[in-house]
Amino acid sequence: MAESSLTRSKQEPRAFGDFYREQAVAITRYLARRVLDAEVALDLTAETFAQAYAGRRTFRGHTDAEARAWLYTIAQRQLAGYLQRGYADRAALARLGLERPAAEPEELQRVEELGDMADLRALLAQQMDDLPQGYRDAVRLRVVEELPYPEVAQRLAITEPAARMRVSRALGHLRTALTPEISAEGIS
Amino acid sequence: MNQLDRFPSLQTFGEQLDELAERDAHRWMRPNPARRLARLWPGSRPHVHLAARLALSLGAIAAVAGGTYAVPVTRAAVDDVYGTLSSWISGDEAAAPGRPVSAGEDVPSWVSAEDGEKRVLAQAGGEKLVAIRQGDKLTLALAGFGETDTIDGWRRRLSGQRIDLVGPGRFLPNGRHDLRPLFGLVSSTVTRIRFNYADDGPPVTADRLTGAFGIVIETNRRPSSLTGYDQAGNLVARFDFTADPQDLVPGKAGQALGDFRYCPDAAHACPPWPR
Repeated sequence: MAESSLTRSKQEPRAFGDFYREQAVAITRYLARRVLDAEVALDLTAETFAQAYAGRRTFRGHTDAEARAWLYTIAQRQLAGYLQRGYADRAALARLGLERPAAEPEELQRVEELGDMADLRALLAQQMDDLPQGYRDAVRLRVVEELPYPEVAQRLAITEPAARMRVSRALGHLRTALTPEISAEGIS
Repeated sequence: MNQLDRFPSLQTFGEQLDELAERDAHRWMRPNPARRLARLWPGSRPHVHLAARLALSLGAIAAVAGGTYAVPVTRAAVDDVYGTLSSWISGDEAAAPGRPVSAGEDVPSWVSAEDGEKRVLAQAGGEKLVAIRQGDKLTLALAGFGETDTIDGWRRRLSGQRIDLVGPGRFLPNGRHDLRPLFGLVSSTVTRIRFNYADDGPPVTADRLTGAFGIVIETNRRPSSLTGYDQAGNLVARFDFTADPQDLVPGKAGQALGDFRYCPDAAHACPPWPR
């Protein structure tokens, strides 16, 4: 079985370029479909590969499939951090002295197309519309307007536990509806 | 799927990674097992896949030697080779092995060119074993070669070992191919080592060790073992050179680990040792 370019890069750093070129577009698509923002997807892609480069010697696999799985684990971690903090980590980029180049509007549009983001947004809007009014408002106030739960509860004239429950159930519904579409590239 | 040419910023970022990798290749490529083996056995051709299996540690030698020696299984928590380096690695300068490289000290040019904190761990035969710490990387360097790994990599390799053979240095000047320095690391328990020959003649010893050794060995005498002793004189580690090599040396079928002779005209291995 052929050795993955990531494995080769542990001894020969220049092989990492092959690994990057094999995976960069796929990772960008993976991230774009989850953040629905082309700029953020490119930020997360850059940090993912910077972390992969910095940590490539810790990769213990050998095959291309193992290398992809390892890389997607890093990407998922970046994604989770972004969703939690609201901004993309740049620690590895800074440590390695790398800078994510700015993308022109045409390229950002291509990232949008790469991720079929317009379709996903339309589907998200449709699923939001399908939510009962109280649930839809709870999601809008909490997720879109980022209000704290006490204020969400006050605005909706419900208790705070009820507000939390509505948001949780609404997001669960959206997750169930959108996950098959988001994961359409075959990597969940 | 690869449509990278449609995404200029991704392409440019890839070029940044290429440049970084190029710098790192020059910075880190010197030491790897194959190159190290190539230096250990002049004239041999590095064979990466075989060489990669050959960590020149006591443990690796033990495996190929088929259990011809034994190292005590139980050990104190830090009584291993990694333990002699770990305090320094974790920032305790007072516990650092060896001594700092002085300003302007005579060390190999490639060692001088490296950034990082450098310490001379041992010296013999005009050559020095230098440790270079750079962030999470550690390099053990001799004049002609070195080996770099992450701290974690060294920890995995050196934990549990009481002797780690770093390798031989260059033959002594003036054509003295019968003499060359040999360097290694030892655990804190090992304060004396003895390089023994198969002819039962005088061994080479070094004592008052503090984590490393450098000795000058006679290459035309067949080595038999390297033994380590604690302060009370007890044998605590043994490194056997006489095991059947089974093509251990890349491109040198039949040449054993521990054969440090100079045989530039030999087609394959040095000739068998005289009985």
